[in-house]
Amino acid sequence: MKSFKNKPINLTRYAVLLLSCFTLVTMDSGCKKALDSKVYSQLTPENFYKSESDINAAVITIYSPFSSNWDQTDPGNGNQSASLYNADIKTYLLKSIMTTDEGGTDWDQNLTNFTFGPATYQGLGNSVYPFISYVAKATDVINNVSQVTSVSDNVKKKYLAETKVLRAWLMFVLYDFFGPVNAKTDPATLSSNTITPRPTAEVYSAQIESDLTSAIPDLPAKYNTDNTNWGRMSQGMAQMLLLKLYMQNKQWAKAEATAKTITTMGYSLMPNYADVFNVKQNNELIYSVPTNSSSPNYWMQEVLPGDFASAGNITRGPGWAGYYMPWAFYDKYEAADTRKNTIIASYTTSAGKIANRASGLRGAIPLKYTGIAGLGDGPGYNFDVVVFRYAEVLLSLAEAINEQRGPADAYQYVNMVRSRAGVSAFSGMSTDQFRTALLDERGRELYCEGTRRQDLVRQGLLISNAIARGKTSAQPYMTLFPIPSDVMIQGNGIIKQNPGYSN
Amino acid sequence: MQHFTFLLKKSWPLLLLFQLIIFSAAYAQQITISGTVTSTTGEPLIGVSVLLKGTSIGAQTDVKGNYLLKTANTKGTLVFTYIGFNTKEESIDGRNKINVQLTDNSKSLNEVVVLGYGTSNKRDVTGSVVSVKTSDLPQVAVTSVNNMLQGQAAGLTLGTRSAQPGGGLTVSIRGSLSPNGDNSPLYVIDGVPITSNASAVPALNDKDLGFYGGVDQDPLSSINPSDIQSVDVLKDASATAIYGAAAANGVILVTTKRGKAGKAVVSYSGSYTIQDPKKYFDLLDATGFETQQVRLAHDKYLYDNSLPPYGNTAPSAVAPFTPLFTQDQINNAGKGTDWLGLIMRNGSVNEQNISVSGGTDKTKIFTSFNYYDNTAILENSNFKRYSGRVNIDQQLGDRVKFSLNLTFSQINSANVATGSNSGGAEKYNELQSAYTFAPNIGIYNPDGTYTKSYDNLITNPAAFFIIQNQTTTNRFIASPNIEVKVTDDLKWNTIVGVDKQTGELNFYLPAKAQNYQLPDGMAQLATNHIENYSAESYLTYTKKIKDNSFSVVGGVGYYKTINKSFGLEAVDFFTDAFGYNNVGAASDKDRSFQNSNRAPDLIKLSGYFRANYSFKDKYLLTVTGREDGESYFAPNRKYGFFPGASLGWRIAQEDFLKESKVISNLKLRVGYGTSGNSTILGTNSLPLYGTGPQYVIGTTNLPGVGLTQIANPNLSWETDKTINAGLDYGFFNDRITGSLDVYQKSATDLLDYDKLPVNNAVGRVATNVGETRSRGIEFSILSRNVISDDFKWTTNFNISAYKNYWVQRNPATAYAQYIGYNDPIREIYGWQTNGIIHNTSQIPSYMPGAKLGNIIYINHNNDGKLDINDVVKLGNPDPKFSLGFGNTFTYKNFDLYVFMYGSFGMYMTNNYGAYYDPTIINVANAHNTLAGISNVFTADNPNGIYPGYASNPYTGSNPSTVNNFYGQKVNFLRLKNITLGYKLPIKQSFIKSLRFFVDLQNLAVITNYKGYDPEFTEVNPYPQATSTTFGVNANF
Repeated sequence: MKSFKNKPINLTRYAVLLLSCFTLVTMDSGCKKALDSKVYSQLTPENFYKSESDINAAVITIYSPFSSNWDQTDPGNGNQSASLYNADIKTYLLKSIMTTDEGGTDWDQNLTNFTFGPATYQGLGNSVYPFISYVAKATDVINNVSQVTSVSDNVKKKYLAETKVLRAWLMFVLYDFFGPVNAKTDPATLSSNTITPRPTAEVYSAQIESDLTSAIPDLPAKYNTDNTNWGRMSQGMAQMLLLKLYMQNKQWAKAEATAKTITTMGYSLMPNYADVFNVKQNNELIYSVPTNSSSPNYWMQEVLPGDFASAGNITRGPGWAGYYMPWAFYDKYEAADTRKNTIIASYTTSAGKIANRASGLRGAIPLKYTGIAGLGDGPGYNFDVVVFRYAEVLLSLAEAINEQRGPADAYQYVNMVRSRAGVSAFSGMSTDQFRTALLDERGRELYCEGTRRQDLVRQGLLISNAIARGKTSAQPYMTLFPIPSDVMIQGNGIIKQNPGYSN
Repeated sequence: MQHFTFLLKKSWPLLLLFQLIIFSAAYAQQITISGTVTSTTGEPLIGVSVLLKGTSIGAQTDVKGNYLLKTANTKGTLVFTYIGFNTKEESIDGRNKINVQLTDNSKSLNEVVVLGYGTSNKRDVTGSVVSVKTSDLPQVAVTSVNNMLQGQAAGLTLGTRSAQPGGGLTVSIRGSLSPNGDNSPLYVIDGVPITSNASAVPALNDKDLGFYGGVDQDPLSSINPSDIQSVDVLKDASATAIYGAAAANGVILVTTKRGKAGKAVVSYSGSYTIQDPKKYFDLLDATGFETQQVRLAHDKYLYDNSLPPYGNTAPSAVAPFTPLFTQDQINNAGKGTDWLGLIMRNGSVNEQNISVSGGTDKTKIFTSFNYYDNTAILENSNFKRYSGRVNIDQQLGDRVKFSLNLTFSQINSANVATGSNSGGAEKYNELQSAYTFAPNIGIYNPDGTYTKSYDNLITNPAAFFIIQNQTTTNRFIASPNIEVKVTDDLKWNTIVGVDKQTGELNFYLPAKAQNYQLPDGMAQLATNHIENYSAESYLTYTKKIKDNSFSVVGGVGYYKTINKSFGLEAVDFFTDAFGYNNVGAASDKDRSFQNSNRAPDLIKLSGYFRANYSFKDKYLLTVTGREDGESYFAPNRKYGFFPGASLGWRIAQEDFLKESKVISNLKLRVGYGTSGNSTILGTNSLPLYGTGPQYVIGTTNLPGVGLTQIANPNLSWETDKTINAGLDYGFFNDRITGSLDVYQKSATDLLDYDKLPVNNAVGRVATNVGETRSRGIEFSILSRNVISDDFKWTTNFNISAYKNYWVQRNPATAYAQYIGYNDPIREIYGWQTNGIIHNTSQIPSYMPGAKLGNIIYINHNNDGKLDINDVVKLGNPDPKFSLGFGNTFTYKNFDLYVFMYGSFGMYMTNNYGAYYDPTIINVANAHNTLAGISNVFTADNPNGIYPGYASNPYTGSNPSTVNNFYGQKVNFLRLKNITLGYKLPIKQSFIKSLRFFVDLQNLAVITNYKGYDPEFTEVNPYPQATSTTFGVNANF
């Protein structure tokens, strides 16, 4: 150190050395390159959509809204929405159940009392409408996959067809709740920020129909025997969605034809009703949401009471006491109906007492998945969430026939379902009588599967049914949910609210 | 700007050459001047700075007060500067020995102000700068220097989110102008800018668990507050422009203590603090819970069955009401379990601080060690810090000084999750579970397991005691600095900063805790690295020619920030014995997962300068500028230039005021400058696909990839422009000093997201659009009211007020019609309310479907229907004004400090309001709630003031989703500190000084707020405590 003293020459050398080092650090790779952003943990257009695995990953994103898991984070805006077929009160499934006489809950007063408005469901609570962005995502995937050159045409066709069915399904879900919405199906509009008006129901339905019909040739018939691919979109699923669309639109002839097509596809009723829900990939299933322990089925946990100890062969800890089946609905079952075996009307509490209607129990427990016996306390179970099944096809076929030409030809289909339930066959009814009886039959057969609301709406009974239950705030226009306030504000007058609701 | 960009890119060889030329300058022959500096009482003063005026030639006095200076100039003037003393100037007049006496006066005027790339005398400062001497403030029972700054500087706002030990604060200077960007200032520690001032503590993954970390650590809690000498806050852009694109929110410069030549000084301070929890939520006891449950459940029964008064159903037509509790049970319920009492305890802080400083003329060292151990007031929560520091200054020959600042710290904390959660009751954190768990249930079942509440999703509050939630943060900051006096006028500094922070999380939720989501146990391990590197080199040229003084600083810098993380969750353990130490033993592989992430590195290249010119010490001019190139800026806008300029006029130096007995200082300052905010940029300019979505096919989780972002090739910084006018004043020989500032700050090209139509695949794109503005006034005064020998009384007061509002909105995003174009940035909109409906005669005509107990909304436009047109402005959560008020009294050996601060005129929503919702308690799976629930309307309590059970059919038509039922204007004044000290009179001993003190912290809040603490912005905040500290300071 001493040597530095008063010797500027050494100083200079020292300084030059330092400055050179410093300069090297900064100038090494050149200013311009140094300021490029390197992306480590995400993908870019340069390295994505290059292989079949990439395509599969892109398509999985379009599947994700249908998951049984709690919620989905929309990658395009970071917002969370409850998955459509999760057992939470915010979902498409539960909003369908709880606006009808088949379900009761303390968890959403606005829903059960018909006091919802455009601003009621916000954020995570607004859990159906936001999936409109997944229609655009599906359109983007279709557009990108069509342009991939590194993958064979057959592979591309299969994924394109899958994506189209998913897009149609998403559009049907939105249609069911909100009527036609301005979902984006034209790739040319994907990057446009112009607000587009809502299409007519005809245009909207035609889009769903064309996605489904054009996808069918490129899809396998079904996956019921394929353990690896169970859960993927199939011909059966595409036909089922067509049937749902035609039923919704009361296009009875088309509905009948589609249902009859499905009857030729090898589906059959399970001999025992309870097995439909307990046996994976059984032959009655057209679609169930696949589950595993990371994305299980929470329904059973949600419906079991907070003081549950045992009922029949099921012994386990308490559940979350979320939902119940009002006694009035439970009373629709005939005494001999074996479907009641999947509904708990009496149980032993953790205090050792019997809880039932007489003891003040608020409703029956629509357990549905009885296979949980002996499988522990949950909260989730690996029973796939049943969405569409052959029994609904048969009941829809019966309805479509009755609406066109009376019940004579329709009895055979509904009685297949009744016979399995161990109740006597329908016969000797007028068209109106059959319509009413079939509505109840659908209720009993498909309880808590999300079809009751559609059935009541189709028959024009959703509101009168609610008012009869004392839900006096229910208004005739509430057969559709309101377009959410934030969408209306962004819509700037171009998007029209469903009639009856304030903007 | 073009030119400067060019300069930056091409100037390296030129700069090198320039510096070489300067080195070869010759040196003239030198003389030696020596002397002794003493105080008026004759005590030698150690570490006085002696400077040859107008040059950088200087020395410091040693332990005996002696100095030695070599200069070629026999006619110059020596300037003696010492903190707490008046600066004295002595002309050399050919003398070789100059002894001086300095008079004790802690006049603020002569304080040295740190400005970034240099310091300045306060009197020469032309920008808006506040200096806080932290040594004047109580330093006990605070973990971060941020905690000490609250209320100390006009215009500096520190928002406490929660009282968590070591918890983070929201720091803002002159209001928060960026609606979507980060509004926190840039921190510069000993000259090293902390580019990423974030805590490295990994957050808990809430995917299954549902509650968030419980760790919200202030990144500055890794710096020992006792090591800090001073904090300087640069407020206006004329001062901050030298920090360019990082400085829009102001700059806080932290300077740590350094060694002084002389005998080693050993300082010790130790303290012990008792923390006493303040009254938290007032919950129902067991009797109250059962009573209210039955009362409200009965009302639910009436409503659900449309029985009178809610409907006309005949009571005989429905099943009778079955209460959850019989009258007999209620009569015998008693007080039950006090769950909040169970999880809260008296806390303590044990703090030990030792520092050694000293050195020779050539070598000066300051070292310190700090131990801080807080057993916090929530069970299972504590905070421990070990930190050490070594600051070395080494003179290498006459012209080269090498300095090294080294600090390392380790924080070990056990955390309790507070705040919000990501789900329902199954995801409640410790505090939430304590509010909601039924009080009529004991802690344990007879078999020793934890009990369950009526809502068995809630984890038993006591079960949180066995959750291990431990984090460790290690931080190491090293900043070597080489200063070369190239010539007497020219100084060259090279300063390198290495700041490495590693946070580690170890979490185990035992099966025994019976969490409903994770009944078989879960472990999480995570690490997070934040690394800031910087290298800066700058030249300082100072010259005085007659009445003209110049000082120019210019330099370049390179900065890089790396941020990477790794984490895993392991689910289902056959035993709790491993804790988090054997994650491989987890059996549910489907639910277990790993994740890792590396953010794109932030790389920044900069060139900067500042030029000061003063004429006759009266007229001052400062010009600053910085060119920043950042990797986060989009390809089309990689470089930004940020200029600033300010003027000062020292009016008191003018002849007409020079002789004034009243006015001792008067300086007018005017400045304008620009600076940038680039905090939320990240990779927002790029098109990206991200992982995240999943779906089960067969039985396997398949990962999905989705478009997360679309490109904006023009995305770049937000520019803040500030115009500032200030007046510094001093009266009666500076007995009263202070300043007054008025400013207008505009943020343009705001960092924002264009909200794309919700039917698009990507919902937003980052963009620069819009403008906000803040106008404010700041006033501060420091008055030495009494300065007699025995008794001294000093008052420190500051007050600031601002208004901020929109100037230009994003034209691409439609916003609701009730929002005014130029409204305040954080204005709250909603429906107004007018109490609730107690009887049918009160049902407004425009609410025909309303039920008893519903809130009455005001039909603002009288059109007979409630909708978007009835949404009005409710208020603004920003305070109308804020103040800080401190008084220091010394009487003989006693000293007393009293400090309070407050904010006034904020619009807030009472955070207790949500707990008065009857649906919390009246259901079968009832939750406990606040005692105030007894005021809820029911058919049998028609005078209840809070809304009843009946759902309001009109609420869903309010697009703002906000109403003011629980809203109010809030004012508060917090009595923050009372410190009483006593200095032992010590004459001759190895102990130089000894002081005992008692400090009372957070004694009281005077407020009209009806909820919990008005300062706590987080939901379910960590509870507040009153601290009582006993301590000692000693110097050896």
